[in-house]
Amino acid sequence: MGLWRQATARTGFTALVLGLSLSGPGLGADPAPLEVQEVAEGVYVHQGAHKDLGADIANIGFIIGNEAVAVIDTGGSLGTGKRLRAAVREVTDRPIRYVINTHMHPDHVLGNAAFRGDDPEVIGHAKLPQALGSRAPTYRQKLGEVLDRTVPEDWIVLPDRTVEDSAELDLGGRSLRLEAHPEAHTNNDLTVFDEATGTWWLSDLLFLERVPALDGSLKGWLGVLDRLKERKAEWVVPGHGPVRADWPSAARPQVAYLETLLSGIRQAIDEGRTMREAYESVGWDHRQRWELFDEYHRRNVSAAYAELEWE
Amino acid sequence: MAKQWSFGNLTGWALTALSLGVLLAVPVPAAAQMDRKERGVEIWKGLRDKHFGDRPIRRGEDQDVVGLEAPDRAEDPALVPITIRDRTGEDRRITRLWLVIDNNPRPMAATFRIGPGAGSGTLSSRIRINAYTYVRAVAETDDGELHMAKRFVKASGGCAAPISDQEEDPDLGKMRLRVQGPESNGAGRRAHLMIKHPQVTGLQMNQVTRLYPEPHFINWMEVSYGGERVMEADLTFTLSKNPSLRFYLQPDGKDRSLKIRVKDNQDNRFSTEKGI
Repeated sequence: MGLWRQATARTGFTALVLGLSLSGPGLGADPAPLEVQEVAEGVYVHQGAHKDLGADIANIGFIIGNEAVAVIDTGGSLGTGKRLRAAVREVTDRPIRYVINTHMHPDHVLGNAAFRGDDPEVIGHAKLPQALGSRAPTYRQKLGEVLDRTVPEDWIVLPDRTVEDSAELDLGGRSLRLEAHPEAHTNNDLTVFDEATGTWWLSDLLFLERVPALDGSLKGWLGVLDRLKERKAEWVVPGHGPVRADWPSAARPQVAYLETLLSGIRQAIDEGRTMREAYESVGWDHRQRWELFDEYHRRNVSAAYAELEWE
Repeated sequence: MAKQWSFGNLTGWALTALSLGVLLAVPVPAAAQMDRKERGVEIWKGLRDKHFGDRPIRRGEDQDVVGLEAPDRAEDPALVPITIRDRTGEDRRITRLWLVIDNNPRPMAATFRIGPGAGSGTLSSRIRINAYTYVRAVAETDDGELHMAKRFVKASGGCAAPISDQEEDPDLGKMRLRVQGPESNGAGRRAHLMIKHPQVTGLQMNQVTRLYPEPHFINWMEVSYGGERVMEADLTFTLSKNPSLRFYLQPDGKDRSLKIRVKDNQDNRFSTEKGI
């Protein structure tokens, strides 16, 4: 705590010197709480917007136990993280004991620093620290361009504890089961199963409405989904789109899209088509089904092509 | 969270303040794009003087020797597909090619010496682009003339894009070669060479460890067909991870051998051979 106060004081000083208006904790008005929906008893989710990049584009939220709160993903900026924290505090005074990051993408983790004052245990997949660490400079630069401000280094908060395989968290009469997956959407996807309500927080292993973004392995993602489809859950929380969906039926459009990429790109490679020829020809019949298709589809094909050409 | 609290120390905040100051000096995006263009043109002028002296370079409408195909906006800055297109007719042939990316850390990205084993100077590959930039293809023909095609490509971060987490690829240097039948337009057989190589630029800092990985990339390649040179190339980390290169072999019905020799900056050598 002492160090944080010290740091805050210096932030204020830096801001003054540079004529910036940084809003750190203790500076300025309280942030407006994010709008959240209670998708199951004690499970709250905020729906992010379907925008290309930005501070508030992912589904994030929290789960409340008898003794403590676990925050699951923190949004794409310190400000979004603070608004999520304000939403928690509207519902409960219980301590925020855990901040869980479902993977390294900036729209899910750049609000972590908003929870510093709660001194939570930050938890992620065993491969998250390396993955986020190496991407952090790029993420900060790109978000900076969108927000038109400097994104400071200390928005990057890495896990204190990582999950290699699985882990249980106790919130007091409520147990969360964390599971680390092999490379799929990214190489550090982590899901959270709430045993009390049967809510399975899949985050970006499942995209609804917004076109899936491939930043890991196409074959791996399909493989993970194949296994997850066999399991039962009351409902799932996707990383983008509606905050609650039925399982496994909700996975159908995404699986259809990913399977089209797999077969279409394999065929393109067999026929000697280039990456560019492949991304201009494969999968466009799925365009009407997804938001932001034009922004992400070619890149998905490029990534999958690079993966598949060495089969 | 204890680790991150070390930012509370004075040095950390002094550095943060410093970097804020530096970043704030960067102009707004629209102006920045213009600046990059101009800065790139300055870099190009320097390279032009160094590599081509005062030799005239035909460009734009004045040349019909070389074309350059690249996307206006790259989908992935670490995987930008480009094609250098040989537009010469029967009267002359391309003997050298230079690929220049003004705003990359190593603007002189690749040079190719094209030999009689090549069916044409047309080459396709995938490259990294680090900032909005002109990409240029300069071609020298056997009559000694220079010609240039250029394209402005919007992409950023390709050279600092994260690399895979795996340290050692057991398949390092493994090559795949596919050759298609002769094309009807006389350009010869199209060959596709793929090489397993991480192509580490060394520019990807890990913010947590503060470390930059050791650069590791293919820096030389020679291709020959039936004992005659198709190309010899000096290369940089600009070629994307697991480089892919498409080129043409001279049209010839006879059985001939296609040989590839490759070297990287850590002096690993790889080779492969295929009968066509």
